[in-house]
Amino acid sequence: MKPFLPVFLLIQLILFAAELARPVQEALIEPFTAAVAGLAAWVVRFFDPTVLAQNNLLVDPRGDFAVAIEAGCNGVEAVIVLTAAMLAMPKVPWRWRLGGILAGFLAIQGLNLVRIISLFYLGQWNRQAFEWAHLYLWQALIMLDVLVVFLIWLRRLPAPEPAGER
Amino acid sequence: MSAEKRFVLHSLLWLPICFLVWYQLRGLLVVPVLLGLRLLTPWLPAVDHIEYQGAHLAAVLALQPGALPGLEVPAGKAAEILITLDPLAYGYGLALFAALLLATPDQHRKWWHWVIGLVALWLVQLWGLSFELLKNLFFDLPAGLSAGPTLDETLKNLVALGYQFGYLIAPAVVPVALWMVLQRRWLAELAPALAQRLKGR
Repeated sequence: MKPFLPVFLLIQLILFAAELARPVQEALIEPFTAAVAGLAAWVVRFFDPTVLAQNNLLVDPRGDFAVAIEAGCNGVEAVIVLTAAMLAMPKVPWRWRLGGILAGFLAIQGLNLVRIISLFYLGQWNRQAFEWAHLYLWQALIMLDVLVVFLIWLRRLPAPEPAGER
Repeated sequence: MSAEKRFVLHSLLWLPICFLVWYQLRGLLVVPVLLGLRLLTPWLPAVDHIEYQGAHLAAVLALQPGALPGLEVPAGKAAEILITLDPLAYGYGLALFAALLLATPDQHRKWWHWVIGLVALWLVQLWGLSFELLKNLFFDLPAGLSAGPTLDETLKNLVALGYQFGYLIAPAVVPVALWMVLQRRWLAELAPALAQRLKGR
């Protein structure tokens, strides 16, 4: 763990600081968050055709409820954590890293979609349950998802080559 | 069932139980964080003291005379502003850490893992709450109200980064990273390629 942890923390800090930078927010994070809201609305419309997406909002036009997908709700931070862990692992071929990051991205965003849709309906049913699930429970579940993807990736890694292709 | 699947299943079973216990004990679990925040109070500009309000905490700011236009304070009375803080928003990692530890096979669990986890996750909460308070003081309150020194742009950016890191990353990542460090022997059994990679870089 000694070589892994500091590198993991450093990469995570760099990626996180980059994510918060205004130009990155405008060019990448905000359009991505709007796309997440659009995708959530598209999925919901299969069984609830009136739901709309407006930028980062998922709106129920029948009532007075909408959820805003903000920083921390778009799954980007979880992807950053997983990416940092996979990049920090020593002696891993690059195709394994990239494959792991891509698979992890899909797994995290898939579960995040479930989170957004569940919160959208939970909030219409009970505001207290929404707050609880939003602030505490789903945060833990998303991180558990990151851990599971990382463990599966670790289990499937090939034994390192003696010369160490990276 | 493979060790990996058993672990995931046990984690998912333990998680709701740990959340329930954590939520029931929230008033007690916040006490060390309150004490930590009180120790930091002398270094927090304009904060008079920290109040314990059940599971929540409140930073009390004593308003200076003339802090607000038209503010009149009758003799013998004090004007105060309360900034309410939610320690649970930074503390849910405790439930996650407990679920991960309980899902780990018995022979790899030690009593001191709980102690290390508690202390580390209290520090995470303390970090998050301190930076939330600083964010409130330097970004949200009018300058006259905070009565503190103004910060240059670099320090303001550092406060913003510390707040975002303390809110978005640390509460979720620290319990998992800590669990991985404490359970590295079991992880090495689970994924032999991991042990080979971490042996001398």
